[in-house]
Amino acid sequence: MSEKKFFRVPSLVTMPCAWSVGPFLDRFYAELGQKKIVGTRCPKCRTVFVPPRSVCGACWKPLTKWVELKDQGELVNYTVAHVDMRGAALQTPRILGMVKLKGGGAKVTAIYGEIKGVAPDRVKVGMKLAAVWADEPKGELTDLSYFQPVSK
Amino acid sequence: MFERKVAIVGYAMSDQADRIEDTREGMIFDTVRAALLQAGITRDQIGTVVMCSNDFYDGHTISNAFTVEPAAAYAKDETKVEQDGMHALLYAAMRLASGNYDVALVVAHSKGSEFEAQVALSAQLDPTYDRQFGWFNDISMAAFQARAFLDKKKLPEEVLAQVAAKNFANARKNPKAKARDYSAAAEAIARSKPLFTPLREQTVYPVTDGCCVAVLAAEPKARKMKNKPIWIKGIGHWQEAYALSERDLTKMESAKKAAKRAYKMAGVTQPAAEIKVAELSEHFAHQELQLAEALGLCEGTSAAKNLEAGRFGLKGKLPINPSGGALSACALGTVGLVRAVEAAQQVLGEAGEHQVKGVKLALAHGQCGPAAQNNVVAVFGK
Repeated sequence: MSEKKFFRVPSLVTMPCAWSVGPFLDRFYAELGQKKIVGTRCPKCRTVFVPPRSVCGACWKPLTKWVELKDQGELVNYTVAHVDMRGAALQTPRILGMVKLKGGGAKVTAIYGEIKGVAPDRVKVGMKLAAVWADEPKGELTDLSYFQPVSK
Repeated sequence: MFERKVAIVGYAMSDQADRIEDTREGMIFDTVRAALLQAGITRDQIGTVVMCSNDFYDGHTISNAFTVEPAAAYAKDETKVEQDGMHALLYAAMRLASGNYDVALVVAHSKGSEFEAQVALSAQLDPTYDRQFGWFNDISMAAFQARAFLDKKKLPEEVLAQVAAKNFANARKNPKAKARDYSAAAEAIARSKPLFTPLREQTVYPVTDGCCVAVLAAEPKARKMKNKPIWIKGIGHWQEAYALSERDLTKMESAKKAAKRAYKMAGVTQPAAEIKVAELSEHFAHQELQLAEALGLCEGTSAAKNLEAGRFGLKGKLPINPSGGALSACALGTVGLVRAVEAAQQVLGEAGEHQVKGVKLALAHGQCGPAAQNNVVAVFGK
């Protein structure tokens, strides 16, 4: 970085926005409030999209068939976060995972979730995981609090 | 296939480093003026201008409205793309190929010192779900791709440091690159600050300021310019699914498809033998290996083995990123155009200390989107 200081003018405003999630995610969030995870299935390639999408890009088909997934699945990918989204160091690293849920057949898109109950250096692709729910779900993303390894 | 051939006939780039002392406008004006001088043309010879920037980087909507004057676009046909400088080059080439214009200016720029890059980049993600987690930025998205690739290829994380070490060593010969004074010791890179595993501070692009300009011309005009035309022999562009969960992250399918189109147009059938140098937009170290495989630049199937054998080094058989690549300097949205200009310089023999000998065909690659969703590949030659 340059040592020289130049006068900077700040942005005086931020850009507030609140997006409509639309009917598909609206139902998804509402079902989370019932401790349920739902997706939509493509009538052609049979892929189940979780969270639900309204169209299958590859088949260019509208998706109308709803599927309820199990709240258990397998870790298919992960990263251990040592910083937050803006780059500030985290006191405790967090494991961010992609989890493929059971109950939707062979082709199910993975869902994001935080993984707890396992040390960052012990986490492994293929681990069996179960969702841990909020005590009082409200129909929000945080209702599905995190995933943890299935106890044997 | 283009109806008329299109060539790079001039170029200029600023330092791809911190330029706190400059405004965007000043940086653009200086670079455009240098490019016109280098091409031996005046402003009135320019038919059309295609800029690349991003409103979130500029903190300014329709930000090209404000950069028309320094970009020599005043009272001209001008437009802007928000992807990468390689996309701007593609669209400018199409405007020339259409026959509507003979000379185009491609101007890519951003000032990473003025915006919070990972906040701006997180804005490319789905606001109704992905962004609601509050974790996702460009780096954490790419980290999943890195994990998938390393696991699939059974590679240790240290291979990422080896990619960066090669590129930092090259950057020491590139006076424009931010990383020109970085240590190129793989051991130190492998211990740099962990961000989102397996990615670390030095295996992720360093966000810089920078502007890059290319002057394009279509034949027959291109043959009458001051500089030798470096033809776009082939160019291809491809998109894949937005969602990481809908892609096979172990491969770069869209880069592969883009390359296939570029090679077909250029008549390249054996890229690993015919391409003599490649400038790739490896925003993250693993992407250089993935791209080398997707673009068919390896001997055998493992980019890591090619890297280890020195084949991608500055003195190797197919040097990749002799400039140091995006790991050495990254003005966001400018990176791909820098790659194209570097490729043209290699064909011209004007790359300076990082020149590769006897380059007939050079490849340049640009990308945008989370984990390189969208790719452009171009092949340049005399």
